[in-house]
Amino acid sequence: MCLSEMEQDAITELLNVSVSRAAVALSRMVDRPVSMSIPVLRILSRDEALAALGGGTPSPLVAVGERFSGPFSGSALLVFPETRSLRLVHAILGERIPLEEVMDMAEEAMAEVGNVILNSCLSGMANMLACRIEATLPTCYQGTADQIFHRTIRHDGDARILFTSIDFSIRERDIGGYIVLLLDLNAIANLRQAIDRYIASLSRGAGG
Amino acid sequence: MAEPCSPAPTADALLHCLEGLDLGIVILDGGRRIVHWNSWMSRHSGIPRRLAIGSELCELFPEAQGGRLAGAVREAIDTGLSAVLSHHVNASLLPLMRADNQGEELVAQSIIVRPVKIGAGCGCLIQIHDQTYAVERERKLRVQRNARYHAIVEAAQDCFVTVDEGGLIQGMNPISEVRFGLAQDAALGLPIGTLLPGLEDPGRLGAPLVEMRAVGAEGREFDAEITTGSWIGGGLRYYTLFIRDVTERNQAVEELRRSQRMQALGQLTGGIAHEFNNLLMVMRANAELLQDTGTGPNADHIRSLAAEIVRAADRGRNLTDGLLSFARRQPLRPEPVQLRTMIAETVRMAIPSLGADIDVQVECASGDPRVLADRAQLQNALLNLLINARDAMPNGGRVLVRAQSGPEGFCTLTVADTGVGMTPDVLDRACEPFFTTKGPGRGTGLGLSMVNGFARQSGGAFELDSMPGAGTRASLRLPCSPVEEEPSAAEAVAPDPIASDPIASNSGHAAALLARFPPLRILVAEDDPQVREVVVTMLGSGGHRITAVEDAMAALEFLIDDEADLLLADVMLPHGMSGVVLSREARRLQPRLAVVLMSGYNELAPGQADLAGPAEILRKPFTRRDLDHHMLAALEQVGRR
Repeated sequence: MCLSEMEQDAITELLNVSVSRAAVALSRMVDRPVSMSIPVLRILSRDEALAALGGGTPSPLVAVGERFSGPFSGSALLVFPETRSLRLVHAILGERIPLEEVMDMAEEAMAEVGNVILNSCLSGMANMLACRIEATLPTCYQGTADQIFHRTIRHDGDARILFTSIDFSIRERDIGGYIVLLLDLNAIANLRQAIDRYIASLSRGAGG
Repeated sequence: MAEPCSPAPTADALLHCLEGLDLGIVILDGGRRIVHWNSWMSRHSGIPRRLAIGSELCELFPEAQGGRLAGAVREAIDTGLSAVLSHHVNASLLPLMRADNQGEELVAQSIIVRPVKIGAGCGCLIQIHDQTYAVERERKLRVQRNARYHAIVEAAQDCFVTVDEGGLIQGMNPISEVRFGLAQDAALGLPIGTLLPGLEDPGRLGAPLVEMRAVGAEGREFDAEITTGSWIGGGLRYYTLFIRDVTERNQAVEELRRSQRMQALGQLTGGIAHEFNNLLMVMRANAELLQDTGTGPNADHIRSLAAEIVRAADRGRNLTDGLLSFARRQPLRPEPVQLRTMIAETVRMAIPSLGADIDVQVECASGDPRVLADRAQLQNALLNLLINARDAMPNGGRVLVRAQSGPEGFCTLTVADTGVGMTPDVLDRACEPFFTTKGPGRGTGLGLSMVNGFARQSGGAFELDSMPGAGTRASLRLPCSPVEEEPSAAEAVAPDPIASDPIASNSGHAAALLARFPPLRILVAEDDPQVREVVVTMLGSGGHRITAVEDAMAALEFLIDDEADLLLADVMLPHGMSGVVLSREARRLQPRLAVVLMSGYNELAPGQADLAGPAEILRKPFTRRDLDHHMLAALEQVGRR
């Protein structure tokens, strides 16, 4: 997949806008300010994405995944190191909840938080690209990066992955994770067209 | 062959199934209007279907406006996304009530929102699951699962505090709440450094066993011994700290260490004083002899030189007295002492040396506290404390002397000053002999050690309380005396003949005394050759027949063959037999033997005195007059005079 620099910037921009909406949704849920940011978007191969996630070590990760379909279809994953995910859940549920209860609720809460963030991203992209993206309910995965990819992303040597890290700050806790978007092969052309239309609409808007 | 399938259910039949589902089903059309509202929803919301159909959710539940459910509905209809909403994460979802006569309990709910096709357009399906039972079941399971853990942790008298790897408190047991004065709810999420300042840096977590200060309820600090267990839950590392309050144990250890040190110092100083008294004995006795024998042209000059030596030896004896007092080896004559009078007398004596800048106030509790103690030593102790107070206030200040009854069976005499106070290091060593912060020539460093020794030997205690800049409070605790035993003041202060000033002895008087002796057969047992020689010389002018030996065996050998009138023996004799044992054995051989025991200490231990039988104790260094006096008394004891 080749996206021009401008196209990559456009997607980063899209994700940033979407994620700031996710932050608003989360802060409403926890009744606290939540800030999120997305640095640069990278386009990686499956192996590169694996390396970026696991850092080469089989450390346990937690992921929330959704399949989406529409003009471009694929999978979206929100991935955290397991240690960070519990911290995220704890921050969302509040420090006052006893630890043992947090552990019991972790998976459910994690699925919902992932759902909020991924849906914000997907609906943001759908809105701006003026298309409809349907998505399934979120599923929670635990395991190494390899195990999670195996269950969520088809092994495809050519697959290209849109990869970005996401930083949260909730209740004075900073939590870093990753957003992984895997586009089906047929979807890339459609995404490019949609982005190009979006860029064109922006420049028209700027010009007029 | 399988039986043929039934025909596919009709739409009506399907709708009927939908109605029967044990969960809430709401279907919205593309305009977000309710097109289906099942009977579960009517039952739990109290809103009948006819009212619900055609309305928007937010009209029925205004609280849902702008909330997470509204957002999920919008995304489902507009974009096609699905969403899960859990009661764990969302403080409130829909205000649905339990419909099973369980009162006004809200339904704990999980909601799933997903897009559905409605005719040509896109609507959404909302499923509402009642999680109330599941929540209750989870809670029960959790309680069961944790029962054993909680039984231990909640009954424990040690604090259990769990923190995460960032050092934030995740839980604590009931005793922790008490000890730290902090409810668990308030403690959760606090940094552990709040309770244990030594763990402010979470990097220090996980050490196997450490001791540090802890900040307990109302900011009261205590010594905590901490064992740390570490475990992993949900991929995170946690530390459970077992915190034991060891303040009392540490105090006991410190007290033991201090008393052992004092005991060792006591033995050491007692030993030094004993050896030193032997030397003083030799010096003093020879100087006295010099005083008596001068007849030549330089006789006056020699006598005055000898008098100087005697004076120096007497000053030396004052010093060894101090040492023996610290070592609790001084003879005490406890008597009832009225604190009010004693304090008044002592303060009156002290005021000239305290100076005009020191304001002394006396407070005496009503009921006239009396103690059972050696009056002279008690006065000495109070004087010492007053002088110390003065030295702590170079620019003047106030001294408060207070006598109180209590604690139970004791009276307390307190001397508090407004002086410079002591650092903990100085305070710790203040009662050691020769420890002084005063400049050279301003004190021997024996004052407080003497007071301490005196208090303990009197069955009481001595305590110092001080902070730099906050003055010092010295408390002397002594046993109370029953009221009726107070003797007349004249009797109480009557000087003891033995303790009278040794310098006052004069050889003329001694000669007069000696004249009253018939010549005696005297056996001297003393291991120190110089002391032996000087004692023999002292006795020499009396016309006695004197045999001197260096140990108890030699003395006994002599007594087997020869008769003696009087045994003059050192208490400390070498080769395993003391003067005390010697006197007992000697009396077996010769029952009417008079015994005088010479001691570098002041008196015998109680057991030793019984062992020795009737015997006079003569303290070194002694004068010839002291010697004669004790010999006379010893002869009287055995009826030889």
